[in-house]
Amino acid sequence: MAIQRKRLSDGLTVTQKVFVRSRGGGATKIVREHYLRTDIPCLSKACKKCVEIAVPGPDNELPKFVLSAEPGELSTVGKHYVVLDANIVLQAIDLLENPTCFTDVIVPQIVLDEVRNRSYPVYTRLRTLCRDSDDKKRFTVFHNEFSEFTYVERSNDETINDRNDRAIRRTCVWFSEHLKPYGIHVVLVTNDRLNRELTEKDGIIAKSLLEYVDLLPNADIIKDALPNLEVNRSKDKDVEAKSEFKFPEYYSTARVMGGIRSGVLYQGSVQISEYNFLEGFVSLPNFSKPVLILGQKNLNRAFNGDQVVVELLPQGEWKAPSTVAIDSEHFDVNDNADEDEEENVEAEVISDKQRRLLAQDAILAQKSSKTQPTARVVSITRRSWRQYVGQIAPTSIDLQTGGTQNAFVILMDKCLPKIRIRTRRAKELLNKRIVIAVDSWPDTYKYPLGHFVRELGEIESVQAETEALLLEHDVEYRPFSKKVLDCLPAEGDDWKAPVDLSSPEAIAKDHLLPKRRDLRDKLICSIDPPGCVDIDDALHAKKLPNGNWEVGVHIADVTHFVKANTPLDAEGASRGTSVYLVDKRIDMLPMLLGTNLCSLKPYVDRFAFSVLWELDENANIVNVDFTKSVIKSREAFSYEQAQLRIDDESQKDELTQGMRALLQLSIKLKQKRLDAGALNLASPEVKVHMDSETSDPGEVEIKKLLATNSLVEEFMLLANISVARRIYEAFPQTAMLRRHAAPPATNFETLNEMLQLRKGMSISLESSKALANSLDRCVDLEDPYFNTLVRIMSTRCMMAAQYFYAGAYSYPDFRHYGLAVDIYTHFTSPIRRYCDVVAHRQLAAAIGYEPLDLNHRDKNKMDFMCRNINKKHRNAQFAGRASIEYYVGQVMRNNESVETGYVIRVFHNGIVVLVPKFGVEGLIRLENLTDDEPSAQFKAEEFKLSFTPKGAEQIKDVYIFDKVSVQVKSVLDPVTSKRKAQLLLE
Amino acid sequence: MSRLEIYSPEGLRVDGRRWNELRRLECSINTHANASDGSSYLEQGNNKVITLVTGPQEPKLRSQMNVTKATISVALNITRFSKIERSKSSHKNERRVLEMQTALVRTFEKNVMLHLYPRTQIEIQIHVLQQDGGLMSSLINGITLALIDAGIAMYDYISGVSIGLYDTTPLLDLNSVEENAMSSVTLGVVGKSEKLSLLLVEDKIPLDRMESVLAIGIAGSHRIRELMDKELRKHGERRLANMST
Amino acid sequence: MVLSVTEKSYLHESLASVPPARPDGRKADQFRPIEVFTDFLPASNGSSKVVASDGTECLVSVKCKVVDHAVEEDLVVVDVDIAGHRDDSGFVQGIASTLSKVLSTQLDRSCLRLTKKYSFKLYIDVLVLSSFSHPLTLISFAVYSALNSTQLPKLISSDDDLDVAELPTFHDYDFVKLNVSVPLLFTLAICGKNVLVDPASNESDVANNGILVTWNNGKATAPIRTLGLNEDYVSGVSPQSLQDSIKMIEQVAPEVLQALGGI
Repeated sequence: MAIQRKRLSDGLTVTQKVFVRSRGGGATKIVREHYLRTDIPCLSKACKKCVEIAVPGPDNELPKFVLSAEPGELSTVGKHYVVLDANIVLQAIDLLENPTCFTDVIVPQIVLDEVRNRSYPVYTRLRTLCRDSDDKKRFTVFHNEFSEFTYVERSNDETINDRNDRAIRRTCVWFSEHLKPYGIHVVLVTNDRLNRELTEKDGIIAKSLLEYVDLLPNADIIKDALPNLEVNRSKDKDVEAKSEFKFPEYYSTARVMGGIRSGVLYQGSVQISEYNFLEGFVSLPNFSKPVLILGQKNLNRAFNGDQVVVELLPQGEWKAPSTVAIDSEHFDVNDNADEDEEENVEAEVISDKQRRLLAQDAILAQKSSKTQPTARVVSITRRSWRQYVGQIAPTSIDLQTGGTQNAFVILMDKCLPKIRIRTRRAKELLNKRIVIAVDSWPDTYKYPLGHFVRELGEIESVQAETEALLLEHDVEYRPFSKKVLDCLPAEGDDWKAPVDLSSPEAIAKDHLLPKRRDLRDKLICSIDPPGCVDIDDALHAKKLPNGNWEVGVHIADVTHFVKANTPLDAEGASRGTSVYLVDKRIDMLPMLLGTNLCSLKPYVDRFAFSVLWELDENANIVNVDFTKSVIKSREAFSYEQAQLRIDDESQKDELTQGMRALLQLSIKLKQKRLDAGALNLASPEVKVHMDSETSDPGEVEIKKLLATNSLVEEFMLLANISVARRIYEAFPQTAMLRRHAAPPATNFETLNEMLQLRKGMSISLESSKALANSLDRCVDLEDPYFNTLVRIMSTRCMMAAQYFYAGAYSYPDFRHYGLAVDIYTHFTSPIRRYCDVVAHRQLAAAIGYEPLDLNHRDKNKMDFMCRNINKKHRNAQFAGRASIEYYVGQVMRNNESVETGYVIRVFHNGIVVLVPKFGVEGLIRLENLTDDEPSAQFKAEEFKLSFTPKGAEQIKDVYIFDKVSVQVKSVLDPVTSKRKAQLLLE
Repeated sequence: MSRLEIYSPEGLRVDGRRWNELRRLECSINTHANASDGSSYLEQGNNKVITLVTGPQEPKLRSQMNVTKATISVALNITRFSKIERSKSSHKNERRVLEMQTALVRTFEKNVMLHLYPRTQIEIQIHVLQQDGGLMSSLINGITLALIDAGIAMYDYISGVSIGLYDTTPLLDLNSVEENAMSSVTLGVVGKSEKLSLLLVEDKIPLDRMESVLAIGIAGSHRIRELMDKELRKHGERRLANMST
Repeated sequence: MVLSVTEKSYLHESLASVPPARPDGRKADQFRPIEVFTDFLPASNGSSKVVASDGTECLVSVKCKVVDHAVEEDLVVVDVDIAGHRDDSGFVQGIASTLSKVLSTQLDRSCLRLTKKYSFKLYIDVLVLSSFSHPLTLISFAVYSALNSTQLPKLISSDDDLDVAELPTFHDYDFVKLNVSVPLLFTLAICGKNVLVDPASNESDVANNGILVTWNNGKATAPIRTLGLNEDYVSGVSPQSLQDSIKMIEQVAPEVLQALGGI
């Protein structure tokens, strides 16, 4: 097809891009205008010509010429810039980020576009490299597609990839000629052999990644970080990895799309069982329960969390979910002959019609029998691959060999398989926590291939373990960048709230000041856990002449300091939440704000965002008002101190009176909430006490709850609800809210079955009220802890609460099930949660304080933000728990003891026991329960495991919910090097 | 998430233009001499618009007659095939189309010397053959050209352009990909002045950014006026040449 | 231009005389010159614009969509929009239904077949910007050239999807030319015993009747029927005129096709 070019003016030519978008079975012809120009600079400091053609942007700034005039020299190449192709970027982004190599790099636009389409996170990292170019590392994007000199038209019968490769070569040729006068060469790094040959024909140097790295002076160190791809290694005779073994091939996109549309293939994300890494589930829309995927071949290289497409297996292969606990550490490949999987190879030709019938059977089967439909993975839509932390399995390496060798890395996440890496430092890295990246999983390899990224330190060292934990939970823990810190007030710690709100100088600095209300006369105090430095909230109560109470909740005015669209705001939005570890806090906002300027410290003036209610005697809201304010907290109490003060009858001052009033009102509020059906769930929360001197963990304690805890909590809930209503009223489409969906009945099926069978109890799911009541009834008179146990187990059956923007759901779905309110948000902790920051801005706009930033009025941006903070919130919780788990392990290292535990799961080959005292749970394997494994009997329908305990004659029956004594000790697993509590039945 | 960078850090837009560059604008007048009293064909980027003007003529209905001045009517036909996906509806009598018609009538009522043509009607018929963003501005430009071709007295050109705001950067003359990604404003500017005869804001735009948006819009409109003016003069010269031979 | 009764009567007599004297001097089987442009709408799969010498102008766009042909019976949809006429007027609907019927019955469906389940569905949108004489012939020329310049996306997935469903997937760049025989519709005016092709607007005003002849695959095919061109002069059609019409089309159609094909 002939496409015309038309010259518009000097340096601007227009042409058309015509292509077919084939999406969802359609074929749409798309035509877009495409402008070509001659003013795109090479951005090399050496170049004398481009400086003249560069055009300033809307802010009148000229583009920065970043590429060094004296770039790195290599032996056979000389001074050079590197041009990359998309696969190199996608596979070796870690290497590109390495400060000691790839110093001057040109990224052609076509490569950037392809990277963006294939992996947005990698695109972001590449863009960051370009943005942060400095004297160490310089990356630039060259818009080859828009440059008249480098644009190539697609020729007939040319594939898009060939065309793009040609565009990259053309770019290289242009640069090479352009830079010739300055003695700078261009090297194209690509792993595509054909492309390299064609490039060399054009007279340009082309290298594979390996060849290029070999030229570097520090090649030895860098080689370890090379991505591990089959292409790289086909030449070395790595036969041991390739066995007869072969995973089934993935289906073609056309088949996958067609199958999904005609309802014979299904899409979902895989969840690997936490007890068995060879068993996965996929939740599918038509099925009432997740569909099982059993075994290596059926999982077909899916990782935990991958988006996959599955197809149902024939009825003959449906199975009950396995009752065996397996993890990758104890699973030895060689024992497993895959005997049960060979037979389904020929089971290919099932027509779609038959498949549809199969699906109907499957849905029925889920309702009735114990045998569950199973499926197999036929395609992976999106990989969840990220960097993982693990350690080299000592058995997988040969300590004698010095050179490069293959090693298995066992990951900390036990739902994942081990990863093969090639390294020359295997010996050195033994017993270290290391970070690796996964590169590929060819179908002839039993295990995925990856490469070493960096080491974190000795196993079990606090620093390495903490970093590992943060990495594993995707927590950004690097110090705040300079750009971010530059957004803080210049006064730093000396920042002070203006004494006189109406003084002209103060107003000149902050024109919104007159809109602030002076509440410094109110008797405000804060109540927090002991040692709290980031004080988000403070309260006050005052009797009004009409007998009602004026109650104020004052929240740190974070958005006064964190303005929208600043790097500081972007950092906060990306971190989403502060993360609390046992010995460490990873802040969402820089310390200066969190612990000083925003923190509502006592005795000093602070800016706040206040919610003021008029409440009657019964804690009904008569009136509510929101205002930005200046406050002065009179005292910062810990929960215990506050409790003592309230209980101390000799204290008759106004502040104490106010606190007593708050307590009384909070009790009424709580009662109302419970009457409405709010849930009181439980999680085994423990706190680790640190020895303040040595920072060694001392002892573990279960968190205590005082009345003052609930005092603060009730008013925070009330504030959140009031704010939610107000911002929803002002921004019905984009208000930042939080919802908690009712749990589907199926989640409680197993728990109810257990309760029914063992205790004759049941949990009702009719409403949250019914659920709350039925939980109250689950009482074992002989064991007061039983109720808590049921609550803990129920919590695990609940849905997770989530942040959302108002337009995403209809009003009835806004409901917060656990709190039993129709609408809810987070407003009260803006120092440590980003949702609250958004809520603050929206509320400020709703009361006319300042206009709302566009980002918080744009549904798409809100959607993106909600997804991020939901993810970060979840990760933060997991990280916190993992940290406690680690420290509990450390505590128990010193004190072995016998404790009471409860059986919360029964397997074919073991039981899971929860020890409330330490909040830990662990699997006790059958081999540790008995010497006579074969005689053990498992009855799934009774949740019973019978065996002969060690050293005993009598057979012992262990049922679910049984109270058992367990010996708790901490062991270091020789394979994973993870310290954890090991439980043994007494 | 868009598959493309709407505005790259290097300052280039999806189609390769810079922030303040117009799309290709090509126009011709007197394209349908047999079918109308004034006509124009305009391509602004991938927008393709035919405008036909009939009149001033006696109104078909007496009720449309005004004894003091001419009345203007605009009939906008957005063809079903004008977008990438063929639309199921013919767009006629759609609320959006009716609104656009009204806005166009209002814009030109003030600029045509209606008092010169009492008791008549000026009918403007527009056919949109293809659209790719900033349609309203192309309609304005097409009408201006067709009215001039019809020899109807006007105070000045009205030139239209759309401007979007991407984060904080104003972008001139949006195509459809850009239009879907940001909020935008359409301007109709009178001649070489800074007078606006049309200002359409369909989404939210922060007030503090409005000034910069208007500034680049007015500059862009002036450039469009120049391009149209050049074409008209060329056309005039051609006609004169044809007459003399 | 509106003719007076006397003028009309004179014109009628001239046209009915043997041989006919047409006001523009054409022979009975001569067409007026037309200009044809194709592919001027890049966003459509095929397009054409036909302008007759009297200013009648007709635009046609062809767009395609992938449909399950078991669900959608009609693979060709024709929509006609004539400026100055309401969409629901008899005139427009008459033309639309004639075109729909001819195209949906005579276009070979197998040319649109993609796989065992899916086919292309063609949307043929006709826009007549201005019409002075009966536009059907011109529309048919425009449709003919539009369909003959139509490029359809190229299927790259398997075409056998009955047992194992595959979603059709297309090449992102290559197109395949639509290869289909397109019927042409000719209008003829009958004046007395004479049959005239391509009647101009003044000729239509005084014609005794109009005849529509469809031409496809090298022969005249159904529908062949009368077509009212005016209200004053209408009279019945003799079988002879019908035969003459068909004969005349048999003579001229190959030339017309050749002319259109050369574009």
